[in-house]
Amino acid sequence: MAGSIGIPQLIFCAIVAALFYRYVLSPPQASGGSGPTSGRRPRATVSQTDIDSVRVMFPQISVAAIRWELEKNGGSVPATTEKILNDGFLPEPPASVTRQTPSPLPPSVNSEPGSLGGTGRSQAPASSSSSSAATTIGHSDLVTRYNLHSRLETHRPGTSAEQLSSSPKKNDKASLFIRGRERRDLMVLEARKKMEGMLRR
Amino acid sequence: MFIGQQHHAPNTILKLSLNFSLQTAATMAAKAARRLLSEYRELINNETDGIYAGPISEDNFMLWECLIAGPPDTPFEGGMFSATLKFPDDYPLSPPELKFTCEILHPNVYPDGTVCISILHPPGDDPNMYESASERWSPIQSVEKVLLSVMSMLAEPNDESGANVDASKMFRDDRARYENIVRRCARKTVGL
Repeated sequence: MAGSIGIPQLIFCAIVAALFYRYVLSPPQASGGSGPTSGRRPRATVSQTDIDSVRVMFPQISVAAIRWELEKNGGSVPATTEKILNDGFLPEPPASVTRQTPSPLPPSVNSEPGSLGGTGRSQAPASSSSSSAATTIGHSDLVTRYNLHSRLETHRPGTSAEQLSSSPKKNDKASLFIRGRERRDLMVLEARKKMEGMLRR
Repeated sequence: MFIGQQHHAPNTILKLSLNFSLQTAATMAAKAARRLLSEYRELINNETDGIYAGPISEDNFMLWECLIAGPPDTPFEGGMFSATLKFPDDYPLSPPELKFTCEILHPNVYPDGTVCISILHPPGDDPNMYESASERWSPIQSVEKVLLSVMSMLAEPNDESGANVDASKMFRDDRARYENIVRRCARKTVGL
């Protein structure tokens, strides 16, 4: 009879089915290469901007670790920074999480030698000897950060970006970036030369 | 069926309003990106001595890195101080946030590197009313003006609005030690 299957029973069945689906069926699905947008993600979504802003300060810490930490603390950049400053590092996420994370950083940031995320750099985090009141973030100096050691000897003071680039000024985005980066590097080299001069005196 | 129908209507409204706010946010962000591109172009084409600013990555115009040269005849001289500029989606209505990414000791820089000066504050929230509206943030300000203000802030700290209490105290009571630490910070920025 119809009376034997009422609404309570239906709801119960639905709950059982949902739980079954949730815990029995989804794990293989999730590990089977589903992207970060798949519904099964209990943690806070982390914006690339937040990851970038932590990364800029601590280029030595992997994007995966930053993302993991941000997800754990609900996307708080200050809390993440605080943790790095206190501990000197961030724990790497477990392997199951790493698989889910998409490409670490936009390739332009990661691969370019002059950019912040340059590879092959293992700066010691949190220098404990720093003075108590001074701010201690971003421990690499600019020459290291922008990979300019090789250009220190060849750089002649007074060179400006205009003199170096023979091509006429272009205003499209790509050439703006090239000129901008060159100007940035030259400013650092100039400052370094100036400081060397000041120290010699 | 019955339960499903009950939830249907509010869901649609929620989706619609979400869609709407997403669209508004998208137009605002697009506006901000356009404005930032033109500011960037201006900065690169008309170089201002001692400052550099530009997006960290080509695909995110809302996060910039910048360099500010230590002003001459101050203990900051010779240093090149790096910072990040984080722009809100409604830039230029709201000001960017400027944060030093190098070691720096200054009365108006919080220990986490965030800079506290009037040009970075929107005209609305000054409980003490000691900053005049004209020197606060408004859409006619620009990245260049912000960086130049920070440069003059480095030269002339305002020890009345101390963001870093220790630094303010040291600046007032033990100037020699303050200048020594600042000089060391400046050397460090260029790896010396």
